[in-house]
Amino acid sequence: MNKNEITEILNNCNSIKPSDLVIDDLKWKYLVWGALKGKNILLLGPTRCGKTKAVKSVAKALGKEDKFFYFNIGSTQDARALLIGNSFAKKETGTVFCRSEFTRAIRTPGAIVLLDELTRGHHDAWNILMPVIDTTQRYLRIDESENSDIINVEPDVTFIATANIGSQYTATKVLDKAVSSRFPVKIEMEPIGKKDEYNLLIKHFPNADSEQKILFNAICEIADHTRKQINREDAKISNFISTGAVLEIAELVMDGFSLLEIAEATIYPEYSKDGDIDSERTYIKQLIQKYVKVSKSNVSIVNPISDPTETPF
Amino acid sequence: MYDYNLEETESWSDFWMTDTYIDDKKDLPSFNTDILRLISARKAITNFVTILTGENIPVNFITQTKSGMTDGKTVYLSSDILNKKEFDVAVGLALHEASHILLTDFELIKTMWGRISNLYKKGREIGLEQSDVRDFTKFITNYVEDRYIDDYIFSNAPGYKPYYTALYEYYFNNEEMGKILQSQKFRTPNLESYEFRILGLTNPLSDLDSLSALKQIAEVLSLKNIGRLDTTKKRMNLAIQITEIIFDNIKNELNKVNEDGSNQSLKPNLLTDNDQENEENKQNQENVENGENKQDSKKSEWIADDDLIGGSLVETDKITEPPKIKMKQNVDSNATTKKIVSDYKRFFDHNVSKKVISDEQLTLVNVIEKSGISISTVGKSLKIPVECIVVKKLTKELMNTTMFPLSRQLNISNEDIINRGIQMGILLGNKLQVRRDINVSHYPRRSSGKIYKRHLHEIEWSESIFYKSVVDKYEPINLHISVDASGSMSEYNKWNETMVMVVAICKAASMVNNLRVVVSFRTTIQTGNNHLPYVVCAYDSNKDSFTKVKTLFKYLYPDGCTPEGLTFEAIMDELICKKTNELWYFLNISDGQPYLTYKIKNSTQKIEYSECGVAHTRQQYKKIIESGVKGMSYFIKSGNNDACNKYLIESFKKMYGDDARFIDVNNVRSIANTINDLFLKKE
Repeated sequence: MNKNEITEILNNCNSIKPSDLVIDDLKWKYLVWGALKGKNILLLGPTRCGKTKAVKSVAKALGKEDKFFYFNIGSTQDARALLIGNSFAKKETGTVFCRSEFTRAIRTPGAIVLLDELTRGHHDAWNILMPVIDTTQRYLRIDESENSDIINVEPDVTFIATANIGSQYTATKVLDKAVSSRFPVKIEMEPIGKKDEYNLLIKHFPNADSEQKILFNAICEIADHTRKQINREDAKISNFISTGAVLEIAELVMDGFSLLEIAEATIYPEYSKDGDIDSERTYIKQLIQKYVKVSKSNVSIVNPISDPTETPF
Repeated sequence: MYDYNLEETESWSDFWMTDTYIDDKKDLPSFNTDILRLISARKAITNFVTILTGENIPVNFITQTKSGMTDGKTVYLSSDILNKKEFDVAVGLALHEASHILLTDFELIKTMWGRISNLYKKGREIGLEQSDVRDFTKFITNYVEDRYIDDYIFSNAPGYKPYYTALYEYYFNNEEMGKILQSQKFRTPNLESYEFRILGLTNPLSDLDSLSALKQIAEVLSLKNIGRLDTTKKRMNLAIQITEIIFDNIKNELNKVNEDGSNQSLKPNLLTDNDQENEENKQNQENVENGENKQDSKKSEWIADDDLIGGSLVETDKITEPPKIKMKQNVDSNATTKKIVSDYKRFFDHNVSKKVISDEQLTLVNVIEKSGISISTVGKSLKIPVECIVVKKLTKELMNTTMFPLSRQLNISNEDIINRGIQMGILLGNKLQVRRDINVSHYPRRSSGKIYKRHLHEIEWSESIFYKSVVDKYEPINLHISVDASGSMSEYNKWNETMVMVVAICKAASMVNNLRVVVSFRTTIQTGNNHLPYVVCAYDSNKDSFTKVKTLFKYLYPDGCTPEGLTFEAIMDELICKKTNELWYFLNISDGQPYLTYKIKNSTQKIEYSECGVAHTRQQYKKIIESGVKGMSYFIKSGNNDACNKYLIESFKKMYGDDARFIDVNNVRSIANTINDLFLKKE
């Protein structure tokens, strides 16, 4: 792709941004740029804030779905097998070495390679990836023996890695500086705001009725409050409700669950009961209570409180 | 349609409140459990304020003798919040005040008085002083502001509406209000009537035809759409507009009276009816002094139509005559209405009456809150339950209060134990062997072991296709040291020896990376005629620096009885809180067997814990061990008192079994050896 084509795409990149992806325009532009120019990008952010979705959306937007390769570095048990390959013994053919899908990915011109959960990966994975993502090297060595095969990475292959940050991610490691420096572009993904989140729910569930929309709004406000609260110095909770969790909760709403039922099953268990009235669970219950629909018969008839608007619930 | 049915619950706080908060049967009359409840209440209400406003607005108790008003920065609570109904009311009031802090521009309100010159002018025209104009305008402004606040809460937090209902039902007598609204009272166009009728606008029994211009006011106010007034300035402007309408209307009424050609003394009293009464009494007195007919003076007393209801007719005022502006009302019938209006006005003036606590109590509240004191019921398994006081964090302020049984005076210190402890700790730190990292040793090309996949292709001509991995894994160590701080430890220099060792271990831990040390002391505290188990977490190396040991430990002196197993229960539940995969060790330091006489919770029956304490302690210690915590117990002997020691050692062995250790606690090597044995057991 020549420079003019790249510039034209970048100037109109917002037009190719999917409507169900909530991401800052500038960050989206960076992603598109990285994918067009074969750059290494590191997406940082809390869990389930849309990192993986953003990368998949870039591939789709640029028409590279057939050149999109996904590798979960965090969950692999054998980094060598995932990234290089494995030997298999067969009766007919004898012992055969089979190269991994990763080797195919890096040999695909214009590929977008997603390295998911990089911070959860084993050190072996990082060691193997170092020369691959290094812009001055860009090769994968099959073996460490003398004259072993190497696979060169195609020039415009893009590596996009995702990483969680924060002390709540106990299985993650601090990303090796040598590895992180190979990703010159770092994009911080933050949880989306409640308005964007609400719009996302409406897009996902266009058939929601007015009652359900009110519940969507309540859930988005609850999730937003938890995210703001955990960033405080004197936070009363240690966990927030992610956008991914909000989407799942919305599905429960569409299936007829009430706010209290949803809270019991999906929200309360995330918060500890330790500490009695000081507990995180108490705080969350008080937060949920804010949006609970109270039976009308118990509200005093002779009520000096003005009720100028109809209550949403 | 609805999530929650209020009819099934005693109070709206039941939705989230835990059982232990409001327990009327708590058997701790002298322990200031009310203080603990106040602390919990404040925390819970602070949560509500944070949730509603998104801000960390401080919440505090009133300590002044006068009623507490929000000052725009802090929400003030009444201290009468110790039952559920009162609690709901307190939440409602706190939400109301917090909303004001969030939404009301108090600084702008203060500048209001410079913007109402027109009102002053109109007020003068109808005989009002500036102060009267200010007071009335302030009332209207507060009313509009509060209506907006109500709308804000109802729209943004519909689930909190019942707290509001509880608030209004508590402070205002709505039924009485409704009756008065329907009556003939407050139909004379004066300030008091307008105040009352405006207050009643939100009452369904309000009568918009009861007072001239009331309908217009209601239309201008448009309560159903009050949310449109989204700035303090808009609300202020509306308040000024309403005041203008009222003043204009009163002026019109006055003009009507004048056109009537009636006696000037019929000029309506624009303030309250009582003021009119005082003025007329004064006038009558002057008339009498002037020798006027008493009958004439009587004629000038006007009695309002209200008195027609249940009162006697005055002949000079016949019902059939055209209505005049009548000011005076029967004093007796005014008492209730005046109280209602006064209650409302005080509420809108943020001047509700709140129960105060003394400054000393507030200090105690703050100290206790900072220390994280809670109450844990222990002894349940023996069916001899008792409350155990658990202090999660020792502070110097707590040591100054009566809620801490161990310290004598903070000017008497035992500096020597600290110095010796530190010296010993340095030696101990060099001897402690705590493994830190996860070491993986990988041995390839072996003839046995796991198959190395990379060498599978050599399978036919080589045997060295196996490997072995050895993982040396040492997780971070958590060591909980529980020290017997009963009175018997003060004998035979036991306390000093113990504290030197404890300080030494803390010092050694501060030199080692992978070791967390928590030190707790256990004893009893006297409350009234009862003794209760008491545990205080004095040091946690994860949260406190070693300086705390140096600063506070020298002031600790043992006192009280020996509740052993009862406190172990509380320690396990409240202080250790072992999570899966966490490595915990429990080091118990004790000089003897359990001893305590206490009253069972919710009963007058007294229990001698020494009778069952050994077995109970054994049971509780076993529970700790079974939960995955590794234990060890050091016996602190009573000098050379062999007979005593023999007896105590027997009990000690019964309680702690193989984990009992009888070492010289002043010997660094002995301590290091025993602790190392404990730590170096691999997973």
